[in-house]
Amino acid sequence: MPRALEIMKREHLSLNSVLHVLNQLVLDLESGRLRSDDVDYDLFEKIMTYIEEFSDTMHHPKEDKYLFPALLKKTSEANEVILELEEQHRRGIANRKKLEVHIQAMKDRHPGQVEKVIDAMKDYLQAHREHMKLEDHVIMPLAERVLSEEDWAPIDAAFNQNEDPLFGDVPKSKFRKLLSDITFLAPAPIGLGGGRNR
Amino acid sequence: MLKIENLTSHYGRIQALHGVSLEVNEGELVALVGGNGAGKTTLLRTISGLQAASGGSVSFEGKNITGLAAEKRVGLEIAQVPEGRQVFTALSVEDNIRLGAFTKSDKAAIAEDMEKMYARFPILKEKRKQAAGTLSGGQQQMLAMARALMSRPRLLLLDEPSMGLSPVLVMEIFSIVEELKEQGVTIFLVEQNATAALRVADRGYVMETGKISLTGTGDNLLNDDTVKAAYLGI
Repeated sequence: MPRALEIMKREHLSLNSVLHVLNQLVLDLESGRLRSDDVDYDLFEKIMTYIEEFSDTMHHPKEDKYLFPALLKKTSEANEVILELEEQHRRGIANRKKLEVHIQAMKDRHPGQVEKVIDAMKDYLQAHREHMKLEDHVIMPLAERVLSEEDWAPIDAAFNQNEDPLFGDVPKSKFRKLLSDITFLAPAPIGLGGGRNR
Repeated sequence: MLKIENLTSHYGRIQALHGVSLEVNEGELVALVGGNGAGKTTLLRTISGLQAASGGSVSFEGKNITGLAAEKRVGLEIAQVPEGRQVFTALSVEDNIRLGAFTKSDKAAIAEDMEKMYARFPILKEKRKQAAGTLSGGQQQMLAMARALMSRPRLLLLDEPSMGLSPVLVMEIFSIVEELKEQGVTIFLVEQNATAALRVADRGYVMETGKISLTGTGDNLLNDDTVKAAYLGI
């Protein structure tokens, strides 16, 4: 399997694990197990930072810049899907920013914001799931099938940068620390329960 | 560093290991993957001395340790993180960690190592006075790892460290495993989560019904059609 594909799959797993925590927080908020007064905003902030820096700044732009153009050049089989994925990347950034505004409003105790956060997060999570499903089940198998070793070389080089612990575009050690902090703060049994809601 | 040749082991009349041979070199992270009942845990227990070998040999740094008692193997700087964590539930977190250094006598070094464990696993510092039985699964896994690391192992045997944990905790466990490898600890990792294990491993072995059926680099095994079909759900 090309190196870039391996890295992309691993990055999806990593992002999924963070979204799993976010999903649990939404379910807890919705069911009342987590009261809005008890929300650990430090945890929310780290999750949103992770999504912003890992997904929106590092992962998606490399798909847009290297993987998708290579595929478009090689085949027309997935033109529509790629256009849709590129649009989802753009929309994802806008939706994350909106979500951050809602979270801040909930923190500032604006009336009705808990429900808005719940709705916005559910939509955001659902969009992410569908997005990754398209990439995992349509784009990646297609790329593996049609791209040559020569096509993969620049894509591999770009994604390999993500693996550099210290000198990558964003150092891997930074994400390792962020993920570790999220795991520490997330309530048990999803995380280690080291945050506010232990 | 670790060499296993033609190893067999029995539970009464039932043979669980059928001539297993494998090697783990110094500084390597080697994964052993396979389904339920393949004999992975039996192999690990035979390496750490908790299960008797009925034939073949286990050598550590050239020395045959097949008949050596488990506690003596800890003295050789081999430590195991057992399946299901196996923490001492009635004891405090702190006492569980300290027990990991039972072969050591230098109190200052033990205290220093405990501080290192608390720095690496801050949740254990927060819970240090609590009974280990009150911890969640993820917290207990961290405790089991800290306890094993207290013996300053050069060979760490990990048995299903990600079992039953949430995705983010699984990521954290594998991140710690990678970190330990970077620090020079030699690791033999037994996992049902074959994808995650083979991704971090230098080399891997696939075990089926008490035998090694396949071996290769982590990448090669991840791309092997038989492994994909049997263990990766692809």
